[in-house]
Amino acid sequence: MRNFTSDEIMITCMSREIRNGDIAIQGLTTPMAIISYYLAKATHAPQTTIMQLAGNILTYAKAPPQISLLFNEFEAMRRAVHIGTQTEVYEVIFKRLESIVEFFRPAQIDMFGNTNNSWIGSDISKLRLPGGFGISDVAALYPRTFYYCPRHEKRVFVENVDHIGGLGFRTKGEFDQRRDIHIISELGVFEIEHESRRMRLSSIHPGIKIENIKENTSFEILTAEKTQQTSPPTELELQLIREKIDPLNIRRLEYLSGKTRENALLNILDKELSLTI
Amino acid sequence: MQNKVVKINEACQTIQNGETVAIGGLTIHRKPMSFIHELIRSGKKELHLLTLGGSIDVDLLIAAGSIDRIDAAYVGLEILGFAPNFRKAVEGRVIEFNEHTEYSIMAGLEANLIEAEFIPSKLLIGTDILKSLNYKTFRSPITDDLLVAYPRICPDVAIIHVQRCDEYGNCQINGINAIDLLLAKSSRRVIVTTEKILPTEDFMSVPSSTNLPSTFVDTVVESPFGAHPTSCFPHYTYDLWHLLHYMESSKKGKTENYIKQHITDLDSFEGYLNLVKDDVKRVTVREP
Repeated sequence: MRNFTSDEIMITCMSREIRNGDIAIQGLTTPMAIISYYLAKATHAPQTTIMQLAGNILTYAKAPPQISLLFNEFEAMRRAVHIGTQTEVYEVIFKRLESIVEFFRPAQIDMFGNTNNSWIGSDISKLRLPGGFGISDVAALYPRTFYYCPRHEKRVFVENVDHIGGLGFRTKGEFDQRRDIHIISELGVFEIEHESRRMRLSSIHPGIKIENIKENTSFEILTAEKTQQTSPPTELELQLIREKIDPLNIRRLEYLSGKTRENALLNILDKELSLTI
Repeated sequence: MQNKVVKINEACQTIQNGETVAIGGLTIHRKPMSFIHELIRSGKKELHLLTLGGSIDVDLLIAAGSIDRIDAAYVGLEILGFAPNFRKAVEGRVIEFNEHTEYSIMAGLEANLIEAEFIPSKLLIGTDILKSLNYKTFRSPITDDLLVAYPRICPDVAIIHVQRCDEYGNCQINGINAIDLLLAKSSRRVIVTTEKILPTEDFMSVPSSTNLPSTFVDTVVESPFGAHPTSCFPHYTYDLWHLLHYMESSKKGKTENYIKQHITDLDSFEGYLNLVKDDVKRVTVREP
């Protein structure tokens, strides 16, 4: 039995991608991303700069703060040292490309690292998604692009995305410069191999079998002869996630759907309301 | 500086059917909801909507049949999920949706601001987003690199909800700013709805806090709680309960009932605030 959950090992892996001194940007609704930034700052990367609310709010905190669902903006504003504009967020991105970390959640990702948040199916008539916001602007721009996929399923890991938003690799062209794409899922950590331009397993999470990955992926993932295992979360990492950063288990919402999700959400909201206002 | 304060229905009358209306705020943050209600109540039609990230603002206008085109980088209810009427109308091709990115909107507005036909950039090359937007690429006359021409975006009017301003339209926007300043600068007319109108003297002690000056503002409307059920920091947070209720009523195909009950059967946004007073109370943090 593992002493951690899927979301906890994912957050740990995400956190470990952050280097000390990086600038971590939170886009729209991505609780796991912000938890991983706070975790990195509280462990191996204390000099991380964090920009919240689509990057608008530059925050500072010595001790890891507790995240909030109901008061996301208020929580960020309590620690704000500067309020920028969306134009300024892009100015920071252009100026500091090498240091930017931003975790995106794709609705689809394919074997070449292309992602889609526009629509599912051959046209818009089946499932129109909310849209990718800034993903396609920066996916091909960042030297390191990060995606996280809480649900490792065939409909997420597809052979070819239905509509390319975040650009990975597929055809040769002048926009195809050398860059790294990392993917963290509930089953393992993956990257796009430079030579083949295809998705390769970097490490498999403890307790997961290679068959689990094969069964839940629509294409063949490249593997090494001897697969590395992901280092499990440490006691400190687990304690920080569970007790300090996200005691309300907001991260779990990224896995749930339908009525279960709504109930979990209402439960969190009621708790927050009784604690704060 | 002249006094620009008018009533919300007067401000709304300046908007013509078919105009391009830019909406400030971001997703469920600081949306000019009282003005959205007024647009619906006054039966505006064929509006073209532009917003960086839309939620219930866009969804309500679609359900009310007020718009026929929407340009946005995102339309959804953040952690709560899909915007139901947006999804239905786009899938059914009832309205035209141009999926933008953050940059394509900002570059288009920036081009308008400096009176350029377009802004050249390498961003989005190779993506289907660019194909769907139908933007042209060309060779740089300087380096021969492939570039995208981001055409100018020209909103007729921007509607922005702010925390406080004076009667001339000197505004202090607090919390997430999104692209509101750029919207104000690049739109032909600017209507500001505000939680509170304060004396100009209050702004003189902290001039650096005035991030949207009166020079860009045409009309001021006082509208307390005017962003509900979206947030207006530090006065109230977004009302996720009300938004869930809205989504639930849409699922049953009864957004018409929601609109009737919350907007068109009422004389004003004050009527709405009275109807949902318990909801408003729940999310109020400080009295404005």
